[in-house]
Amino acid sequence: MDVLHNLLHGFALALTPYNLWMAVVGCFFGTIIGILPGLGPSATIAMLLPFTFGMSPVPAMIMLCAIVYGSKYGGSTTSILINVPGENASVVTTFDGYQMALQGRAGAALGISAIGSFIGGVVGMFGLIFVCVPLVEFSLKFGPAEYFSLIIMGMLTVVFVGGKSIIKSLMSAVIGLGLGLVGSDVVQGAPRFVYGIPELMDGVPFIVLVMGIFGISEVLESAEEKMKMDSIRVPFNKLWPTLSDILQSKWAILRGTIIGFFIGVLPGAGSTLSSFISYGVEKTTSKHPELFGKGAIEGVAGPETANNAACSGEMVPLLGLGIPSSGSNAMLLGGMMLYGLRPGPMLFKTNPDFVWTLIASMFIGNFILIIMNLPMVPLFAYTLRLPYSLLYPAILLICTIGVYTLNDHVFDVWAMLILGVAGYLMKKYDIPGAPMVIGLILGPILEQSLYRALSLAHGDLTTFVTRPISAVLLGISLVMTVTVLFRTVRQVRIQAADDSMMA
Amino acid sequence: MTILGFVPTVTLFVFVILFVLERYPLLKSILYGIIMSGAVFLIFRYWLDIDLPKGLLGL
Repeated sequence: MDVLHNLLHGFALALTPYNLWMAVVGCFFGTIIGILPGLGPSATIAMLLPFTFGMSPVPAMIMLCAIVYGSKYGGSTTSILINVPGENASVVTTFDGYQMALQGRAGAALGISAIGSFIGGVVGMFGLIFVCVPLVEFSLKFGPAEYFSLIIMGMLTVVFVGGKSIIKSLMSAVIGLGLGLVGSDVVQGAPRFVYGIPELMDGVPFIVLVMGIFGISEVLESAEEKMKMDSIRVPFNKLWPTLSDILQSKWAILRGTIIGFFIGVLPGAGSTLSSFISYGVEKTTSKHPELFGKGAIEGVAGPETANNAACSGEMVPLLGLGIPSSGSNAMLLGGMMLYGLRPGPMLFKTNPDFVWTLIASMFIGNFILIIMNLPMVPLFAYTLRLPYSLLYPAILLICTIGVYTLNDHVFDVWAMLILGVAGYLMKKYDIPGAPMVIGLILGPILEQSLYRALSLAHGDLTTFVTRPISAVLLGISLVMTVTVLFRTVRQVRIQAADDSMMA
Repeated sequence: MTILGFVPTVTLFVFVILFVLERYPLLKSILYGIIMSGAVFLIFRYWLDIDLPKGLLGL
């Protein structure tokens, strides 16, 4: 009853005109961002964060969350119409979505994608409530030692699952942890790694880092690629899939919802992996796997449902434990922390209005998105005609102004540009940026938890293994590390054997 | 930026990107530079009430 009461109260707050308007604005921008290739939700949140400082936390976070799940809706549009994924989770949609568009069924592909996204998003939100509430009750038993072990486990999962190369992900996370050390010492408050630069006394500014790593680097990369977008036209009256399309997709949508939500809950896995797994499952279970890649509607419905359900699943570790599982969730966590809110179990106790309004707004956001997306897809598709050569100077300007307005320091602008170049090089060498941002955010919390745990245990390091929950979390981390090491060594040996056979 | 001021810097920045990097025609580059800096100035200065740095020309 408590959950229902809180949720209804959350709906009452989320439905106030201003909060509703912020959800609409976030959904609109999210859809546009999803449609525009080369600009992801992480970069957009990074750009918009400084401009939300004048707002209260609830409407600001409603808007930022709406951008994240709105981008998942919009991401499919470019995949289907121009064979270019608007964001990573929509890569799979190009396989069959674009083929459907070439066969004159773009409307059906866009329609089933919106319907699947809606069902995945809404059912995923119920999943979020049912999983998150018991998780919060359980994690209230956590002390500093448990938090330390949990952050270690969360970071390892992000490193092991998140990127193409574990070594590169690990490198990125370690750099992030290192950057998290810059500023004042958490125990004595003494300056640390500031090298006489007063602007670094408060640490590496989170927004400057994310704007550089995600915003500027994405712009540089996209500008280099000089994208030319030629969209397939979709008439307004051909947007609805037929009844047979919906019936054909019903199991794909159901499976996509389940796969997406549970993959989303795992830190580091996220919506991209869920869409690939869903596609694989649909192809395996289909009676006509030969049609996949040639315009099978299940190949659009399953992955699109899965990536939106994963978006709800990703909120479980974020809201319940304070552990972000993707780059965009790290942005949301950073945003909440800038507002003085610390996601995790205590947030449900100290700021229940905030949490439940946010959850309710996500339900409402999914309704807004389906209303906005089904009839307005042709209008959104018009944005693809905007030349990128005009768009990227505008994005660079917004980033620059946003960073400058933080403290009125030109230092921040230079730092952002330098980090932008670093982020661009990271992209070139396939080094993921998300572990770095997660390291920067969680590093100081990790250090504080370590310090508090050791203080409580009078310096006894065995506290991490003698406390049962902490021991289990560290045990899982150890098993993960050993498994990954074993797999890597085996792959290296197989590769070496293949090379010697070739020689 | 403090010498030139925000508006002239943005105009110059957009002009250089479009004319030099994107090979837009000269007049079009100047026009887009003026439009973009004007739009950004109006949005951020008057709508969002952000104090943008002024240069010698007071812009």
